[in-house]
Amino acid sequence: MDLGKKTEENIVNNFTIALAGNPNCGKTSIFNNITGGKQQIGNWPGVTVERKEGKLALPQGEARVVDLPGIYSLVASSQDEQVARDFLMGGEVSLIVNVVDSSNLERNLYLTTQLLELNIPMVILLNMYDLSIQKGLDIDSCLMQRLLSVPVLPINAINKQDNQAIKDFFIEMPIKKGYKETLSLPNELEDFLNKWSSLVVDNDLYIDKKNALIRYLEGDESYLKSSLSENLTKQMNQEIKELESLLKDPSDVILADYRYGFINGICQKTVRIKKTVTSISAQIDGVVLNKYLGIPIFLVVMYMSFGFAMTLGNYFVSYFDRFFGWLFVDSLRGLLEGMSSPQWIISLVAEGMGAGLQTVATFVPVIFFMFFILSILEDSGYMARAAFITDRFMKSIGLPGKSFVPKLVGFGCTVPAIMATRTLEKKRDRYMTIFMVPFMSCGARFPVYAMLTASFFPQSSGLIVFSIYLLGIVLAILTGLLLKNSLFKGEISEFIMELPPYHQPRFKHIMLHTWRRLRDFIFRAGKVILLMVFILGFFNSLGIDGSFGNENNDKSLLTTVGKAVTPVFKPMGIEQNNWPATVGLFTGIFAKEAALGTMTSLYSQIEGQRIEETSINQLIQRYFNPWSAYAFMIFVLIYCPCLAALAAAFREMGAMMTLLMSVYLTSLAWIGATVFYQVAHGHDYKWVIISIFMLIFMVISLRSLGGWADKKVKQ
Amino acid sequence: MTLIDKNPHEQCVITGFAPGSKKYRARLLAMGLTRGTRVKLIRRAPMGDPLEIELRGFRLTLRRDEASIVLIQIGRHDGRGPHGFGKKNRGKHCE
Ligand SMILES: Nc1nc2c(ncn2[C@@H]2O[C@H](COP(=O)(O)OP(=O)(O)O)[C@@H](O)[C@H]2O)c(=O)[nH]1
Ligand SMILES: [Mg+2]
Repeated sequence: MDLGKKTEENIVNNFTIALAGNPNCGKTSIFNNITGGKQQIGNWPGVTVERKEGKLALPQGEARVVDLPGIYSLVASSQDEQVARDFLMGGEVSLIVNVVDSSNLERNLYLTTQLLELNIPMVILLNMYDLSIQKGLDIDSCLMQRLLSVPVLPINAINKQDNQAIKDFFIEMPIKKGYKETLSLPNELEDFLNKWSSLVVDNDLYIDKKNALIRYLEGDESYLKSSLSENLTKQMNQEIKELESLLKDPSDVILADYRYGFINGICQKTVRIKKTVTSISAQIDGVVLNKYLGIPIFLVVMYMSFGFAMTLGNYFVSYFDRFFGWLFVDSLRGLLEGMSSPQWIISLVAEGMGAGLQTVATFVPVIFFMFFILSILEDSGYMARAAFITDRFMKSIGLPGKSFVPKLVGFGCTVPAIMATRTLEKKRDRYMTIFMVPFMSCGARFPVYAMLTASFFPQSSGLIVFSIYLLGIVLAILTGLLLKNSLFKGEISEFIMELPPYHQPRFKHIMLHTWRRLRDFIFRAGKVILLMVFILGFFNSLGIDGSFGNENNDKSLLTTVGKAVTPVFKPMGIEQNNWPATVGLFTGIFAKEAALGTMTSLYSQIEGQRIEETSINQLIQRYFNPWSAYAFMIFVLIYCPCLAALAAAFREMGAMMTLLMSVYLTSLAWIGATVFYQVAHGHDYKWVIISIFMLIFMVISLRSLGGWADKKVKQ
Repeated sequence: MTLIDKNPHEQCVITGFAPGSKKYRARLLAMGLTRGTRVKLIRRAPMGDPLEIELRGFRLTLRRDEASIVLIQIGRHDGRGPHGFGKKNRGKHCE
């Protein structure tokens, strides 16, 4: 690592600034401030952790600024943390900007002590200075600068003026290497480190050998793996054991003791407590987390926020649908017809591509408002409280409390729910939650239930629909338990969560966050949706005679296929003459509410009459009976989620996992619907037995895929 | 005694760790749960779990069974501290 040169020239091209610090200390705020609007968001190679990169123009040239995921320590436990650690220790960083929350100094400085040891040029931004003053603290940043021998600048990231101060700071500060010897360790430990650092071979270690040993003692073995032979490692472990029995404590505990001892020393010298203030956050929490009020308040907050998001979203959906339908489908068709293009081109472009674009567009309002609300919940600090309250529910499934929220979102729409799993830190938790989210019956499935219950159970429609929702929740829990013991067996993460003080959510920050997630949906998930809608639309339009424009009539290829596969659904009560239901299930994959439209339009074509509003129910009664109607609802509840949801899942988990999820859901849907129908009405127990065998087979397959999934999750 | 046996709003001091997952301990240590640190149990979640504790000026939540590796004693100082609080209380339960 040739940092010396860079240090002399201060700022040069190819200069990489890494923003490192605890979660929630203001890194992203500072990042947004200093990079302005010009930033790129991508993923870290190979993983889905967001990577934010921007440029900072300095008189000496342009610097690359990287916003790292928040970490409490260099010992990484989650994927995000690994990404941050690997970046910091990968030899790429020219300057570490350690953002420190000055209102929470002690804990933030823990990471600082570790960063200093990396021996990379470093500066400290004492952020949230306003909050520390509010808290009654008076911090002598100049003394701190002297004690730590790295530049320290107190700032308030929200304040515009400080923005310039930060830039000036980067330009003017004599940037020195980090001060390495922060800790004076017990002699035995020093001797051990000195002895073994001479035995470590320097294999692509970007960090100092002694530092690699400290990392090892603190529980991160990755840095010594290739630099010490197996024999020597054994010998060293033996010595560590002896050392620990001599010092009467595990070495990681000793190191932490010394780090915090050092920090206490710094804080005693630099921080004066001027007044003790009872924090407003603590007072709010006294109510919000109250033993009796906590859960009701949580439910009200969730109901209001997601109710607001769904209502507002759905309000715009119809406008978006009509407008983009007109723009992408009708106008496009009109235009093509005007140019007297052949029918197949019109079908492909207007009904295929146009309809795909229309589908993507109709999701925009819902996703926008959902993310808007989620960002407010996150930014204000309430999300952490929600996790605190719901953790008990999730613990038995082996998930953190936070995963409750995406599930709630799922009752509105599966797509934003899947994307909301981003708020979870661990991949395993994200994947498991994504598998469970589709069981939360989304708004688009409701019309199907409503129509069928109105036809068969007009008296008790509320109860019937409720039973379906409840079934979904029960199956989600069972799925969680199954996955915990099969596919995602990996070790369950312990739950350590900070309750950050409440912040007033900032509009600009939230809009930026919301826009980023929305853009991600449009450009990444959108591509998949477009392709799939195109393919399905194409087969819907294509007739068996090779003609086009056969949407939802009985000449369409999709219809023909639908007729052919109807026998598959016979065990759940769909008779051959009810093939429109099968086609409906296919088009339901476009969007769940499309199932109903397809079915009614096909029924009316068969019956050769236009259906009046009043006769739809009678029509449905001709094709279903109460039991098959209920079985059909079960199927619709569980089977493969819509294309947009699949695309979102694909974006989060990759192709194989998404495929596995759709197969799992569709099989389970068939099993559930069949068992219900045969037990309740059909009494052909052969099918029940077959279903049970299928279920067993599924469980075994999921178990045997555990190893593969484990690798995927750890990637 | 461990962190989970306490009553809300009692001031306690961390005395060490019971054997357990090293990874979990590393995370606790990073959060500042080192020996001699004062902690206060603020509350339990509405359903009894997890716990909310206060230390070093911030608030943290831990699950009951996981937090049981944190050993504590009641009082304001570690037994080894200059005020020698611990001797009197060592081994006593917090009830
Ligand atoms: N009062 C105050 N709030 C801040 C300051 N810097 C950041 N924040 C708030 O702290 C929260 C977390 O900031 P963020 O930049 O997302 O932190 P990150 O997790 O480190 O990226 C946001 O709600 C910010 O508005 C500051 O200097 N003063
Ligand atoms: Mg951030």
